[in-house]
Order: sequence, then C-alpha cells, then structure tokens
Amino acid sequence: MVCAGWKGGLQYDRRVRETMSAGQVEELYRQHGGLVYRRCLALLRDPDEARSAVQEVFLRIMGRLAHEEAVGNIRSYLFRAATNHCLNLLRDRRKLADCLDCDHVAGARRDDPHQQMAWRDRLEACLAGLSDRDRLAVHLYWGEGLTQDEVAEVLGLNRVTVVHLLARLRERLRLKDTLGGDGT
Amino acid sequence: MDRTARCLSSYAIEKAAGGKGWATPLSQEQLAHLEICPLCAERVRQTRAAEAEFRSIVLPDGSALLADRLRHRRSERFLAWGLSGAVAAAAVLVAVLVLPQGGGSEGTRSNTGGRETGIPAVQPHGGGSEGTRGNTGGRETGIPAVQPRGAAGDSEKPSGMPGPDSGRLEGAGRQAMPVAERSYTGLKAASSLILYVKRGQDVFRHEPGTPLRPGDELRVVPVAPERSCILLLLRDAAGDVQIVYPWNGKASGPLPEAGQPVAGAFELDERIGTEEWVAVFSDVPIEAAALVGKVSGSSVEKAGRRVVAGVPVEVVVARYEKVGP
Repeated sequence: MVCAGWKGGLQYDRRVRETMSAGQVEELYRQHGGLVYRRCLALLRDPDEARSAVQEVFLRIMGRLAHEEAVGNIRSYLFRAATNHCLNLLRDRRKLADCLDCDHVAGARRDDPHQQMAWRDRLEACLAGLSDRDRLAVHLYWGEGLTQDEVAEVLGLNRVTVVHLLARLRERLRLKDTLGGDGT
Repeated sequence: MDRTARCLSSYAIEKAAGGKGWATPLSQEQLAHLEICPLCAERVRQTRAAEAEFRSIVLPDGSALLADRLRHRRSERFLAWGLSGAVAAAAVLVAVLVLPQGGGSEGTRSNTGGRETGIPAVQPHGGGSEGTRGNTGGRETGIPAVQPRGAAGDSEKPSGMPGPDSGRLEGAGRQAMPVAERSYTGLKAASSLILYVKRGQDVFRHEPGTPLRPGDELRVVPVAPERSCILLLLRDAAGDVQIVYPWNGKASGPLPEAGQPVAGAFELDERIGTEEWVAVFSDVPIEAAALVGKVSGSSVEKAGRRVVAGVPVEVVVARYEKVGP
C-alpha cells in the first residue's frame, strides 16, 4: 500500500510519517511532481534547473517528513517546500530581490537607477538575513501576491499570526503593499 | 495584459487547475473572478498544460532517476550510520585506554603560573623557566610595547599563525594539539588567554615561563565561553598600559568567535622586562578608564572574578619575560 497515510484530504498520518519509505516518496513524486516542477520553473526560469530542483525537493522530503510535527496538507507542504528550496538557490545567487518590484519598496523611485541599485542591494541583504519562514512569507505576499489567508495556509499558521508577521516584516524591510488592497 | 490587484495568485491558480486535495477550496469571490477574467482563465489553462507536459516529458525519466537516487541515498545513510558507530566505538576505546594516562601526565605539568594565567602549564619548550626571568627595569618611553600588524583578516598573517579566518586554532608544526585539549588545566569553562608566537619561520604556542624576544610576533586568542565582551590590555616592562583590543578603544569590544584571535598581530618592541596581557571578560561592555588605572604601575591586577564599576568581570593575566636576543 503506497501512501496509505494520505487520507481523504491528504492529511498526513503519524504511522506513515514514521515509516516513510522510498516507495512512498516516489508515489508522492508521481502524484504531485507537477506542482513542484511548476513552482521551481516559475522561480528558477530554467527547465533543466527546475528538474534538478524537483529531485532535490523530493530527496529532502524523505528526511524531513520524518521530523515534521504538523503537515496539514501535502499540497501546501510541497508548495512551501519547493518555494523554500528555490528561494535558497536564489539567495546563493543573490537574486532574491529580483522577485520583488520597485513598487514594493517604500520611497524607492523607478526613475533613479542609482537609487534602485541601492535599494536592491539593501533588500537582498535583508532577505538573505531572514529565516526561511520569514523569507517565504515576504516572497509569497509581496513577490507573488498571495493573500494573507493563502500565506497562512502555505505556512501552516493562523491568519492572525500571519498578519503580525507581515506587519513586522513590512516594518523591517520597509515594504509597502501594492496588490490585494487589504490583503485578504 | 498585466495582472490586476483582483487577479488570482499563483497559489489560487494551482488550486483552480489542480482541483481537489487542497486544504481549502477557492472562495466564491475567486471563482467569480475566474469566470470573468480571461487572464486568470488563461493562467489556469497554462497550468493544466504544464501538468500534462510534466507527465509526458519530465515524469518518466524523473521518476526513474528519483527512485535510483532514493535507493542510493538510503544505502549512503546506512553506511554513514555504520561509520558513525565505528567512530563512536573507537572514541570510547581511546577515552578509556588512553586519556587516563594522558590526564595524569598533564596534571604533573601544571604549575601555579599556568593556573593564574589560564594558559595550560604544558611542557615548556625553549628552555625558559621562572628562574630565567631577569631584568625588569622600568624604562619609560612613549613607544608602545607592541605594534599591531594589520587588522582582522589581513593578508600579512604569517604562515602557521592563527588568523581570524582560521577555523580551529592550532599552532603549526610542533604545536599541533587542538586548542580545547590544551586550554584548560583548571576549572571547566574557565576563561583563559592563549598566546601564539611567531619567531622567524617558527610558530609556537607560548607556555608560562617561556621568555620572548623583541621582534617576536604575537596573536592573542581569548577563551571565555561564558562571556561576550573583552577588554585586552598590555602592561609593558615600564608599567605603561595600553589598550590593545579594541585598539585604543574606550570600552570593551565583542569577544571574537570561539577559537578566533583578536584582530591583528603584535610585534614586541625592544624594551626588556616583564610584560603582562590582562584580559577583562564581561557580559556587558565596561569603560576602559575604570581598569587602566588599576593595571598601571607596579601592582598588576590579579586574576579572578570581581566587580568593576558595578559590572561582574573575570580577569585573566598572561605573563612573560622579554629578554634580549
């Protein structure tokens, strides 16, 4: 029986978590590899790199799921894992800030290339210094325009926590909202 | 066509394209938007096409490759566990059979100077001893006793000398034992100072009682696992005190990372006599002025824990005799 623990809404079962096998990871890949591939392709913008990243994401899942305490939804979890992996790759290439637009940065002016360079460098350094979760929240909310509810779902947090988290990050990175209005 | 504020996010598009299995379905508002927005409808269509492309092109090869890597990874893990077990067993054997003998001999080498300075009293090399201390005459000149050579990370770091970029500090050549094994002869987690000396091409760790010479270069490694700040002072043969770290600073600086020396190498000048390095470790920065007066003159601040200006500090003194060439 493969992935017997993914019941109904694909809720994760402790027994499966403790006995996650290579076969189950392969089954996950067959079921949800497309979702991970699209995430990687959207962020890395290179099909070969995306394929390689998908492999890495699933290889790491085998080790990580055994220690995860709460995987609410496997699709959300894979969405998060793939995005995190790609953001780490982008961080190493110092391209995290490329995912954000000038319009997101308070005080940044599109008509001043020197100033744009400056805020980009500052933002890159700030993003690289964030935790994985915080970096993911910034990317999802400001970079991809997810709503606060969606960010909460991906991160596995409640909405109130996400609201506070985003407020803190907004202050720290001096960002501003451009899409989504109230963000809900 | 650009995406508008009301358009669906990439996450919502995945939900729309992927159907069931998500934690929450699309909201009524999102579904309504999908009905009227051609851009979002196109994004959903593209996502479904990408899924089909993945299944036909990427999945077949990728699945086989992943299966192979997963099996390979599992065998690697077993190998790693096996090696870890073997290493652990070997370490236990070494600890049981070898260390008791080594600990006994280490203890026989301890002396008062080693305990006071925090520098382990291991076998001195170079022939120096307490008895070799000679001239302590106090010449007063304005010339600093040491000259810093470069700052942290300088490229002039002599080969074999520990540098800020070096990982675990180990003296070159004949001083190859790990620092941790040689740093403590007294209480566990006690603070100490380690002096590394470069003389010509030779680099060695300074041992209590070993005389140094003008021209020797020093690097100072503070060890204080329980502290976060350090003020490093040098009292030269004339009794003059200078603040070495932070260089000419007015207050304590942050403690370098574990095993790392304070910035700069220090070259001993021509003055002959006893010199003392006084490290004052604390949890919060303390004013240098509160300490310099105490260290100046003939009376040297004693090692140990005390309170200075209301701040608990730990004082460590490393001492050596500077003799003529």
